[in-house]
Amino acid sequence: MSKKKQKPSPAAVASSPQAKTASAAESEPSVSVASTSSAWPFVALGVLLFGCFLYVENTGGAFRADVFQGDYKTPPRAAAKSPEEQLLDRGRQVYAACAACHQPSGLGAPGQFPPLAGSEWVLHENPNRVIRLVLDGVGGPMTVKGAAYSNVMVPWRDVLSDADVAAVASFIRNNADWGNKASFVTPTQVKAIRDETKDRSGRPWTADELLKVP
Amino acid sequence: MNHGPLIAAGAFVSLAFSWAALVMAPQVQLGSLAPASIPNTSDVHPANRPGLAAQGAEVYRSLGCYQCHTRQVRQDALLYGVRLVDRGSNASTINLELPDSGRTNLVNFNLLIALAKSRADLGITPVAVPAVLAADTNVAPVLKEFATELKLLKQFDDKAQVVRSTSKTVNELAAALPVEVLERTGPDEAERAVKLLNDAGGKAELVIYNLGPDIERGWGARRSVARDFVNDSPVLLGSLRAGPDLACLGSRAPEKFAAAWKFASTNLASEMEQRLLIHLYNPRLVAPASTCPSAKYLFATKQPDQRFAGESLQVPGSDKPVYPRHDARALVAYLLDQRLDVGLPEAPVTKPSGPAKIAAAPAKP
Amino acid sequence: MTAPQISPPAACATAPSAVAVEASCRLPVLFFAFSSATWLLFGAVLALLSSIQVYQPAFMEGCPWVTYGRLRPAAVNSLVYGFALQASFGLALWLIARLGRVELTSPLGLFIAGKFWNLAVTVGVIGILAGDATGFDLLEFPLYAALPLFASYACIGAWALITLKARTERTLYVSLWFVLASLLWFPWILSSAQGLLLGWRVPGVVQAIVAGWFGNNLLQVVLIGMALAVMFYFVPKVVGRPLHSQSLAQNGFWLLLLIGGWTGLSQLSAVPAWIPAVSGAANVLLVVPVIVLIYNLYRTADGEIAEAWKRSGVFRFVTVAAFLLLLVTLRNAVFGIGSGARYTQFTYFAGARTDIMVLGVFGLSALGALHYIVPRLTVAQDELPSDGLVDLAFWASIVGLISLAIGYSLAGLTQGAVGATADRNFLGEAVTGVAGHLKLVTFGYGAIGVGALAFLVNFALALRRCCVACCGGVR
Repeated sequence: MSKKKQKPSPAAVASSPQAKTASAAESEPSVSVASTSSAWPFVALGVLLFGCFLYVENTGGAFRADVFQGDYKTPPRAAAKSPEEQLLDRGRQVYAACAACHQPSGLGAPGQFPPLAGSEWVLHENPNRVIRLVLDGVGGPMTVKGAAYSNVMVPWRDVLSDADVAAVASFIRNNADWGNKASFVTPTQVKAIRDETKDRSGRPWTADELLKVP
Repeated sequence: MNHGPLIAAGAFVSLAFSWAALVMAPQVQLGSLAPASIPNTSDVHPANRPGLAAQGAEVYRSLGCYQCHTRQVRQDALLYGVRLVDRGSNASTINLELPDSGRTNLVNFNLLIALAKSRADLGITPVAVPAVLAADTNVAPVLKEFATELKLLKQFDDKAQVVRSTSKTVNELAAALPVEVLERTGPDEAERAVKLLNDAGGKAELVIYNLGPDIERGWGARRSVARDFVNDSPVLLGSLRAGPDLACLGSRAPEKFAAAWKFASTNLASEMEQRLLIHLYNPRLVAPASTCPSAKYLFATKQPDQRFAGESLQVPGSDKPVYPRHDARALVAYLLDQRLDVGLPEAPVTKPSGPAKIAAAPAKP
Repeated sequence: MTAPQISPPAACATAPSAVAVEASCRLPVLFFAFSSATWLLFGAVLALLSSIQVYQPAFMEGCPWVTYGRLRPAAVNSLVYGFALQASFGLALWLIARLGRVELTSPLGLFIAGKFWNLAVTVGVIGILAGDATGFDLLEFPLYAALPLFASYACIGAWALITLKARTERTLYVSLWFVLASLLWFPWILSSAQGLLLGWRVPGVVQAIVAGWFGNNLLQVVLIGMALAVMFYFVPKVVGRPLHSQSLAQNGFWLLLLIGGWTGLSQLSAVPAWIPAVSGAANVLLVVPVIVLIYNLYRTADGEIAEAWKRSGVFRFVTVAAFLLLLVTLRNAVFGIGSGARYTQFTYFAGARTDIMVLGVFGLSALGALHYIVPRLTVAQDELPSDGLVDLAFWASIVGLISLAIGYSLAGLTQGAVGATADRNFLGEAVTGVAGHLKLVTFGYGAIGVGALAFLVNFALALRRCCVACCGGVR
């Protein structure tokens, strides 16, 4: 601070602090009229902006939500699921309804509900029987894996679509956990049989009828 | 510029731009992020915190631990490799393919050896090299070495003779499946090699290399990503590392702690808990150089009159036991709940190969 | 704003006299000035204590109320809400009254709202020390302090805007653009961030992004804007020349508003890559408006700088603040993008930005302006009673800031070097190894505290003299 500042006498201050405010006479800052607009800020901004676009282009991960570093490349995805795998996934969901009787383990309940795991009915080389069985159910005496059953399985014709029937049939025929492995079932096969047997609708098959089906 | 409302409107528009870009856009992108299910399990990551750990999060916030510790593991690069897990016995034809000319290197050379080994029917006889490849000047030297190597294989197979490839002996390659045959390469190349090996009848899988000093320090198997925090509120990322990162304290390998932590590596979980409690009581007892403030106030010197007060804690260098209060146990539960070992689609990790490194067999007295 | 900007008082019938304008400012502005300086002292002391704890962990150990994790946010929030924002209210009111040639609307109301503001800050700081911090940087005040804080600001801001609307000098000088933008920006960002974080509770890392956005806007636009208002007021005034260029001022102003809100998120890691990338780019772009604005000031004072430096205390403060602004912006441009950002990420280097902006760029501007305003409003003189204390306040603040900036930066660069290689011992080199640098930081906070104390004593002397003058020497 400037040392040449003069200390005001107490009397001068005491006279009236508001009488002659030091700043009262000061002028407020103004803006020069001579100034003209200049372009250099915008030139500089443009150059930097260009650089910034390049930078964001290179390191911004294309604005994706799942890219957390600029040089990240999409990892090789597990190969897209094959149609068979998709069918199995679908079948696993549909099977939830079947699991009530046949159990998630596919072992059924002894004396009441026949097993699917290792069942000759399920694993028959040709899926024609199992498709019919799912569509219209089955009733009466029946032998599965050497044990006799006489319960009634309800028809699923009106509940499941062709794709669902194909999926669940494929699932039970190819469930690796149960040790099942047989051919896959396609919706076309299901549709053919559904049309062929549409006049039965709802009347469960008997074991003898099914055994005649190739 | 003499109209206040005009300036106000301009300011509002300016702010609206940055708000839309840095507040609204992230919310649109990340707002619906949910925990990811872990393949082949019924678990998700991040899992909901157990009650005690959730209370610990509050202690962590309240004591301001986030002022010195981040929970963000950084990563420099994400690279891929190929691991041969089964050499297979398939005798189907193998198409010996070399990488595009110019890209040949010893790493790929490893792959070639693995290819040879993965084919039982190939035996140890040299592979007939397609003329077009043998003529390629980029490839020829490597092929020559490859032929030598195969001859050596023939000579020394299954005898513990060292044949130099990159860093592994051929015997190791042959005997110690699974073996990484391709290291630190791009996703496309790795994917191609996997296909090649699988077509040859072997079984190969992708390996992911998460690289960076944080990961080398053992602070996490991979980088932290947004999804790791979907269950947190408030999200305490931290912005200063006056102490180590805590993003994976609960899944950190014991050897990645300061030597002074001295794990006996038996019954790791309870030992970790003990160490952390002592660390809270007096950090210098566990890590002499630590500048972490002590949290003695989370401990009672007398058995608290509570039904579920927990066990006492024997502090080194003191005869009298102390009793961790509920907050101390909660904070430790929260810290042990910090895990970063689960892969996510946007931040994959590879399961460690071979036998688990830590045999976490609890010590039986 | 052109040549005959000051019309003779007689020509403007409704314009109040300068004396009346000052009289209306006296109560609220002096109140804000005094309490903000008190908070500066208090915050500097808390920051000093917490900075010792970083290398002396046994210091004040054993009480949760003063553990580092609570003391540090208490210090930062005292400095930001107690000192910086409060000082900016005082400065904004004074600038509006002076440049608009208008008496403040409801000085008593402003005074009471200011009291409530101080009460809310006190409650907030106690809340943080009690463990109720929200966990978001610069938004740590718990809700029970944040709501009254917002309410009292609503009164202060509204009265300030009403005063501005009632101005008799219709020309808006550059400083008032910045004042207006700051006054509006603050409630917008505060309500937006508090609403999203404490009300709606956005999920996951969006919280960290919103908090980062708020903190950056608070520093980069609200406080820097107010610092620029002070610079644009005092540089032409002290030098006695009109401002060099209106168009440069306009360009700088709008670019600062447009770009300033985008910076500050470049240090986040667990967020999609585009966020730090965009924010880092904004760090670089921000160099343009800052250089434009400072160049404008430089051209205004060119040739008179040495002379004005000797003559005027406020000019010294403001010049150093402007220089610091340039420095911190360039520092951000280099270390806020790409590998530079990566190197300094999670270190004291990056964290020092808040301190340099609050205490340096804004703090020095505000302290300089208060050294000008306070004597005029108390003893009706140009300067505060004690020259020695004015010099002490200036030099202590400068020395403190330099120590602070150097200490934090060196510590941060060391941490960055250790963090970049896994072979280096983190605990030995990046934690205990930076203790020497951090001692410099402690010294810096101490010096800033001394500067604040010098100003407060000088302030008290002036008030005392004012009392003696008014009350005929009763005391």
